Amino acid sequence: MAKKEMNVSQWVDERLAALNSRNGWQPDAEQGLIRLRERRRQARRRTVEWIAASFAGVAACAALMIFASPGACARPNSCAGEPAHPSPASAPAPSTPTPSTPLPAPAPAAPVQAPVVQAAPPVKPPQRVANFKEVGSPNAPILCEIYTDYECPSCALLYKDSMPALMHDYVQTGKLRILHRDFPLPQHPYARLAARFANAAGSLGYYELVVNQIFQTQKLWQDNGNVDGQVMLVLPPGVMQQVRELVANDPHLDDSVAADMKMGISDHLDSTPTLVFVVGGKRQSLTGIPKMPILKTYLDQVLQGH
Amino acid sequence: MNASRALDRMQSQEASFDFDEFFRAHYARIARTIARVVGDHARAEELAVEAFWKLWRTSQAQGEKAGGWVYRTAVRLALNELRHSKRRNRYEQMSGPGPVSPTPEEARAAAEEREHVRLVLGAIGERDAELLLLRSSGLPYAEVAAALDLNPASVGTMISRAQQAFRKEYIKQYGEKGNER
Repeated sequence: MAKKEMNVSQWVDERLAALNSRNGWQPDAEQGLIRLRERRRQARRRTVEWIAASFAGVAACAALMIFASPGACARPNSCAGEPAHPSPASAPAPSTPTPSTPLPAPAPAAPVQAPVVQAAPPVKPPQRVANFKEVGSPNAPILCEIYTDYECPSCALLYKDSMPALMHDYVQTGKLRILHRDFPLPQHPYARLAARFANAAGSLGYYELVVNQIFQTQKLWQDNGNVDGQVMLVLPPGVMQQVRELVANDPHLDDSVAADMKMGISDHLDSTPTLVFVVGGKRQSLTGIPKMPILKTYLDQVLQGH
Repeated sequence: MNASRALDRMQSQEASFDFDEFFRAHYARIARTIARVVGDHARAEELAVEAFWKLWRTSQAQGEKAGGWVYRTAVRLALNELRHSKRRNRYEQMSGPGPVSPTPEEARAAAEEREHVRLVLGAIGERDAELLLLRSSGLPYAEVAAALDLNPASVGTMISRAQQAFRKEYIKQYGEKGNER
C-alpha cells in the first residue's frame, strides 16, 4: 500500500517536473518592485483624482443649488421682477378655445385675434410627429427635463441665454438629451394657450422653431394672448393653418401638458424654470436659471463619473 | 487598556513588516511557481506583481502569515489564468522548452507533456491543484499548511489524495503512457 502511494507520488512528481523551467530564467525582483511601486503610485493618483472629482462634483452641485435660484416663477404667486399680470379673474380670454382642458383664466371677452379657420386653401392632412418634445441622442447618459411656462420671463431668458450653449456643447455631442415639459402656472392666463400652439406646431415638426418664437416674443403677446399673431410669423401659411385647426379642435393637444404637470407635481415643482437631471434613474431638480459655467461644471462632473 | 494593547501590537506588527524586503525575498520563487503553471515568464512576472499588489492592499495579511498568503494568492492567480486564458498556446511558443532540448522531436514531446500536465491541473479540484503546485514548488508541509490554512497534521494525507486525483485524471485523459517513461 505504502509502496503504491510512493509510486503514485513519484509518478506525479515526474509529471509536474515537466513544468520546470529549463532555460535558466531568473525573475527580476528589482524590476518587479519597480512595477509594483508604479502600480501603487497609479492607485494613489486614482484615489486622489476620485476624491478631487467627488469634491468638485459636490461643490458644483452646491453652487448650482445656491446660485441657480434667482429668476424663477413661483407658484402660485407672480414672478419676482416681472410686470404685474392681470389676475386670472380679470385676464382676457385666450384667443382660441381649448376643447379638452379649461384654461385657468375665465373668458369674459376675446379681444385678441382669433385664428382664422375659413376658406383656407386645401391643406394636406398633417403628418403628426411623435416625441417632438425630446431632442438629443436616446443613448445620452444624462437626461434633462426642462419644465417651463411660456409666460415666465425667466423661462424665456433660459431659452435665450442657456439653451444654445447647452444644445451645442452637450445635446449635439450626444452627452445630453433634453425633454421639454410644460408647466403652465395658474397666474399666467395665456401659458396654456401658448403651450397648445407649441405642441400643435411640434406635432407637425416645428416645435423648436415655435417654442423659440413664443419665448422671444413673450412681451408682445403676454398682455393680450395673441400667440397666433407671433407664431404665424415663423410658420409657412399652410402649416400655420394646420396649427390653428389643431389648436382649435384637437381634444388631445393638452394630453402631454397634463402628463407634464402630473410629472412636475410628483417632482415637487413649485416654480419655473426647473431643470430635472436624470442620471442613472436618479432625479435631481434645479430651480431657476443655472449659471452656464456652473451648469457645465456640473454636467462635466456627472459625465466624468458616468 | 485592552484596546491600547491591541493598537500597540498592531502598530508594532506593521512596523516590523518590511514590504520591500519581503518582496525581494519571495518574488523570484513566487514568479517561478506561477511560471510553471502559465508557461510564460513575462506573464508570470505580471501575475507575481499582482499577487504582491493584493498583499499590499490587504493590510491584515501583512505579518507573520504573509508568506503563506502570497503563495496561496499566486497559485490561485496562476490556476485562474490557466483555466480562463485561451492564450496558453501563445505562451507555450514564447517560453519554449529552453536551449537544453536536443532535438525537435524531444522538444515537441516536452511541450506536449507540459500541456497535458497543465490541462490536468486545470481539470482537477482547485484545492488539489493548489496542494500539488505548492508542494512541487519546494514548500515544506508546514508552509503548505500555512499557505492554504490547513491543519499541518493532515497536509500529507491531503497531498496524497491530490496526487491520486491528478493521476486518475491524467490517465483518464491521456492513458497510461506516463508510466512508460
